[in-house]
Amino acid sequence: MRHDTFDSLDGVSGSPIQLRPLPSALQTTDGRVWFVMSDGLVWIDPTHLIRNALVPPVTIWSISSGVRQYPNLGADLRLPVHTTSLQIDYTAGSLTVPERVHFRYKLEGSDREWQDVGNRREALYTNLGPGRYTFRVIASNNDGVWNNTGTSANFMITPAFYQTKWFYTLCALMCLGILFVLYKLRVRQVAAQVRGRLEVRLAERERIARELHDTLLQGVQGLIWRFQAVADRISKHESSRDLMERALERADQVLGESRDRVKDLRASGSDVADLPQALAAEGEHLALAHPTQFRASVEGVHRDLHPIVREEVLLIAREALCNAFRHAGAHHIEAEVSYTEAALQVRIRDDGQGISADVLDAGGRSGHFGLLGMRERAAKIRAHLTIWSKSAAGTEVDLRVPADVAYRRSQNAPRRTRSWRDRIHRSADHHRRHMPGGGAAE
Amino acid sequence: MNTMRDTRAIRILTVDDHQLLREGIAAVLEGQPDMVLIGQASNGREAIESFRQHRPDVTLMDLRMPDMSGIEAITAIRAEFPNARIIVLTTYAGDVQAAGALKAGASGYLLKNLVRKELLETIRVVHAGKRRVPPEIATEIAEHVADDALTEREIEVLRRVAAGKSNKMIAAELDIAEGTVKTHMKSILPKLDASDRTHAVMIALKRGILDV
Repeated sequence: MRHDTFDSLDGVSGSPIQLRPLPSALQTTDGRVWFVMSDGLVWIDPTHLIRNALVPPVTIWSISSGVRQYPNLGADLRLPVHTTSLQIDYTAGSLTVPERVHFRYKLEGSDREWQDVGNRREALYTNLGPGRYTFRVIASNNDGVWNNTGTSANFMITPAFYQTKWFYTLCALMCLGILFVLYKLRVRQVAAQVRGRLEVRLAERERIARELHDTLLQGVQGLIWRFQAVADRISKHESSRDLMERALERADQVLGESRDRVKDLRASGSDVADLPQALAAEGEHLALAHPTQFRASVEGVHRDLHPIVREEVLLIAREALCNAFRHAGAHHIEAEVSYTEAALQVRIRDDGQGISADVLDAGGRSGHFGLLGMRERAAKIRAHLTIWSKSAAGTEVDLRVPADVAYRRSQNAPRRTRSWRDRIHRSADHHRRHMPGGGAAE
Repeated sequence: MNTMRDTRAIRILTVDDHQLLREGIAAVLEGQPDMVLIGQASNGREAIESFRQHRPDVTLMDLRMPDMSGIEAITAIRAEFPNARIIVLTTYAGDVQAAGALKAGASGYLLKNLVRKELLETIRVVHAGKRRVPPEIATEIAEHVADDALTEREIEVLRRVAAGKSNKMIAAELDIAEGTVKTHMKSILPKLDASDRTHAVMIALKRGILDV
């Protein structure tokens, strides 16, 4: 039911006296309504009510923060860094009954809904963050006529440097950067550990070779001479002299062979045979005894390998080749070595009967196929070994040795700073290497 | 004691850092009426001292010894005694090492695996004032006589390459730039007629530029 309220603001004083069954209000024939109040009688003529139809203009006076007050000059206001609390003063130009003027406001950027605040003429905000805001206020006059357009003021709280998007983006980037650096460091550390272990092995091998040469081989040589001296004293006519000579002859041979072995042991430290060549030789050797076609290929620019990596890779590949030749019953076997920036990759493929899944899962049937050994070797040089196999479709053994373990550092380290020109130069070099007689040195 | 035999016998000094090898040679010489072992030394310094003291007719010298190498000892002895007759006994055949020894003044060169059969004859030939180098080594020396020799620095670089070290590590060890190491390698390869560093190491080991 629509109603109008009249109170002391309209000149009504006192309060109606409720004394049942006596009525306290009465309408007379001229239309006027009479009320009995505690301090007298009042009437109102509902047919002659004067309504205020004037839409109230709304004004925002000022925005203040703490002790500073900023007058609303119409332009965008910039508030200093770290402003969080604000008071906004506004009013509406409706002077009939100012107490009945009704306001609603909304701070865009903070409030979601309009706030109905009665006749309050200031808005208080705390905990404001930096950003752009628009304060909108609308009002109604004493007779509920709304100015729905109202007015608005734009202001902005200046962000501190650490409140800017740039700063957040930068922080995020830095975090990512740090994570990346940590990751890289870790990778490098692990690679260094692996390399360290490889170096130790190499040094140990070197030491054994030297020891063998210096003690055992030299000692045996000395003993052979002493026996020779003994043989020299035996009369030439006795058969024992001949026996002795023959034994010494054999001893010399054994010593020579041992010496060569020791030499090999040490020479392995100098990266004697090229991995693809060694692998190809291995495959071709096996192909002689099997009715299988073998093909070896190389991709990428040749890189010097760490001697132990080369050796381990060769042993793994050899095992894979042996499996392919002996057990797969394949028509074709392929060995592929690729030197990439990220890794040294060796793949052995065949089109044979494949290895059954449970054998693969068991890591090789009780050492069968040497799968376990291959995995162990791969782990030692931090390589990834993947064996893909499908019944009647063949097997592919894929070995990847990360670049920082596999390659010699002298070629590896300056890679980052290497310019595109060098790369082109290198690839040109690569082509030259593959031309007959173009055995370019690095 | 037969003094006549003693004066005519070839007086021999052996130099080797291995006790067993010296014992072996002593045993071989012991059976020879025309030879007498008058001293043993286990390194280059002892060899020089022993030489001064005994003035042997023939010295049998190992090349690889700690402290002072055989070639250094030969040079020192020959500087003091230009007529000293020295036979090098070594394990590995290699023209560079042999040429170095001969240049230093050695009169003979004998591989240890041939000692059993040829030592006595070599001693007698050298004592008679002749030179004695196994024909295969002589041929090899002749083959490379016109080659450019590797410099000390290049040998140092190559030795480290042989030890499996990268250019960067070598540069750090020798306190030179990595580029310099590469330059050395570039110079080494044609001198040895090698196709790459691996090949160079193999050749250097074989020819005795590097000892195994």
